[in-house]
Amino acid sequence: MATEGKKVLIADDEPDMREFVQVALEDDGYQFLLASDGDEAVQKAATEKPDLIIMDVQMPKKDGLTALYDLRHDPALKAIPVILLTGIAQKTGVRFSVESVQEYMGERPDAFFDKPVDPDKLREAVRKLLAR
Amino acid sequence: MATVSWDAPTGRAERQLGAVTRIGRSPQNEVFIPDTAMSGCHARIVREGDAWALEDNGSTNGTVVNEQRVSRCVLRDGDAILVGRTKLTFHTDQAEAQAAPGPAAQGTAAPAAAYTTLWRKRQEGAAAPASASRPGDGSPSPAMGALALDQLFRGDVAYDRVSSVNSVAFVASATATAEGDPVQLARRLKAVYEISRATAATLDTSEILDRVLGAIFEIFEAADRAFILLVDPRTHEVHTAAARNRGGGTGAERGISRTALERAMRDREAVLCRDAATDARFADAVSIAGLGIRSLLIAPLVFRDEVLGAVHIDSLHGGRTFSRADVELLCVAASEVAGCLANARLHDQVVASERLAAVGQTLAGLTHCIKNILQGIKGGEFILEKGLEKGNLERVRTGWEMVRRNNAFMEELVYDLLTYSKQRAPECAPTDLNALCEETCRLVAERAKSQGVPLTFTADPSLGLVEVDPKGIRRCLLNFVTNAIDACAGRGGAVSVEARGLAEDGFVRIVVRDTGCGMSRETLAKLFSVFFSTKGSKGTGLGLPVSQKIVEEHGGRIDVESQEGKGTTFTLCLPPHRPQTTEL
Repeated sequence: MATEGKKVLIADDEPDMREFVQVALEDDGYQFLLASDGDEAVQKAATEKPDLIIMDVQMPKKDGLTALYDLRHDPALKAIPVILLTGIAQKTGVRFSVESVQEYMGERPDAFFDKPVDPDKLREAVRKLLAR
Repeated sequence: MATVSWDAPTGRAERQLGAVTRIGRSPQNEVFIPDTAMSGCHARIVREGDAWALEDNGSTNGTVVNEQRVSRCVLRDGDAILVGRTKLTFHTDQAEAQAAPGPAAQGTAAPAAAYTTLWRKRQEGAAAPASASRPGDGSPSPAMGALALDQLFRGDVAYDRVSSVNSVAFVASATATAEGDPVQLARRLKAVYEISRATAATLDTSEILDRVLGAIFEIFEAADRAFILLVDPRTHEVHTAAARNRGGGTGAERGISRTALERAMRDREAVLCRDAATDARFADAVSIAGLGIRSLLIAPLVFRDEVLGAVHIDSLHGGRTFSRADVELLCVAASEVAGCLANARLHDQVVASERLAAVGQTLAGLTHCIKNILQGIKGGEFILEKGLEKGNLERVRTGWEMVRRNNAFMEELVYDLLTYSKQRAPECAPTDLNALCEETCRLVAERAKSQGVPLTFTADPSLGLVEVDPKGIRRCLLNFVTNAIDACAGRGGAVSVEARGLAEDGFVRIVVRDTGCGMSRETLAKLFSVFFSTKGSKGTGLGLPVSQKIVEEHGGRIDVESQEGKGTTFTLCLPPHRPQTTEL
């Protein structure tokens, strides 16, 4: 398929989650890059230029929202599609969705998944975003 | 030390303030908040001696402190700062807060500040002298006192307006009305002092009312009975909240005049009936005479525009009657009581909303933990199925391990929640602490090894059997040692565990020391807060609060020393014998 060989960066501080995302997407032939915090995710994005980033919201050093802000403010990286994942249902009055993140930060992730993530839906979202 | 805190989508964020702290949506700000309604460099907080000044940087949407737009103001503990759509709260040490003049002092008083100041003053239990008044901060101003006094002595007193009179006017009124009678003057001033003290010393409504009634009998010698009636905020019905009879008991069995009470509350004016037998206004109100009341005086309790209730005093047949001076004094007393009751109500509301917020925070924290565990279990199942589908045994093993690990997390979470939420006595038994430490280290040895962290244990042979709950103490130690390993992972640090025998202070100790990343002051301050974790999705934020609870149940304590970048030492101090008394 057309998306084969594309580079997908998975940023999550939880190794189980990185493993899960890789297994969920492995049949589509992507090349995986891994990061365990937000800082590393932004750095790897800058050096490796992935085609898509899947990122957890709550990570040490730099959280996923701040990392998204940094990515969107770097002209070289701002076009990379970003999927955010979160286990935070509703905290401090903010309900997470693509719209609420845009409202809060002025930056929009391309998709948003609440944990536990459905692997088929994640796979479908990645395919669509890479085919754009 | 001063900090600002605000709600970020990932939780409550807090930053300690430096000499200059910039706030804005550009990442170069010390307080960086990606809020689109904020300017790039929106405002800054500057330290000025012991005070902290907030300056707006000419931002597009302005900076608001306590609901009032400011270009510059000196901050005070608890001030609410609105920048863009984000509300920050300023915190500072109490001493600094006292020293620093607030925004109100600069003529920019916010409506909310009056409440806050009033409440603070009550909590401190000290009435501010008139010379300490500041315009607009809710304290009595000399000009306001003079105006109220002028109204009071004109003869045709508009009592509903008296509700804004402060204790300064109250004292002056007491002095004036008792003029020429030094004994009376002294008694009334004492009573005024008693009421002020009663209302300042507590936020418990029934205690306030009881003390006020005592003071009222001191002031009004003609009073045989005194009542405080309050409006129920939900049903709007008036009920007797406190009653006292000079001769003992409440005197409530005799009842009060509803006609006069309703009139006072409706018109927001004091009602004086000098002599029920001759007062034409109450000729139809058979209740007054029927109740055996000779003279009565009622003052409404009005706070801002709301009637909270009324103070009712009366003298029974054969007693003395109330005077015009008594009306003035009761109105001022009622005003003081109304302000105090409103404060107490506000305090109750704050406590209730804090309780609700705590429940909300607990639920959010719990949901986060459970969702992550569920993700682990479901993710593990998925990987396991994939492995089976493809005949990949390695994958089956990975998936199964994931399921098992997350089941253990769930078990741990439930145990921690039960331990934290339940008041319990530790199940103490004579325990070999050296062996317990060794066993714990063995349990986590694999984890330390896989993360490249050396782990050592030093036993103390002088440490005999100690009466502790072995399961609980093992749990604490596991928390400390795994935290220490995590703090060292990838940094080349090491962890040491050391048992120490009975010291002069009567405690035995277990010291867990690491040379890992250490903690910032902000992290240290929140260390034992429930659901606070620096481990992202790996931490439940329950480990340390649970450990603290277990140790405190033993009558012990946890000492923590940490230096950012250098390491942390947790010292578990335990009494060698089970606690004598444990309240359940």
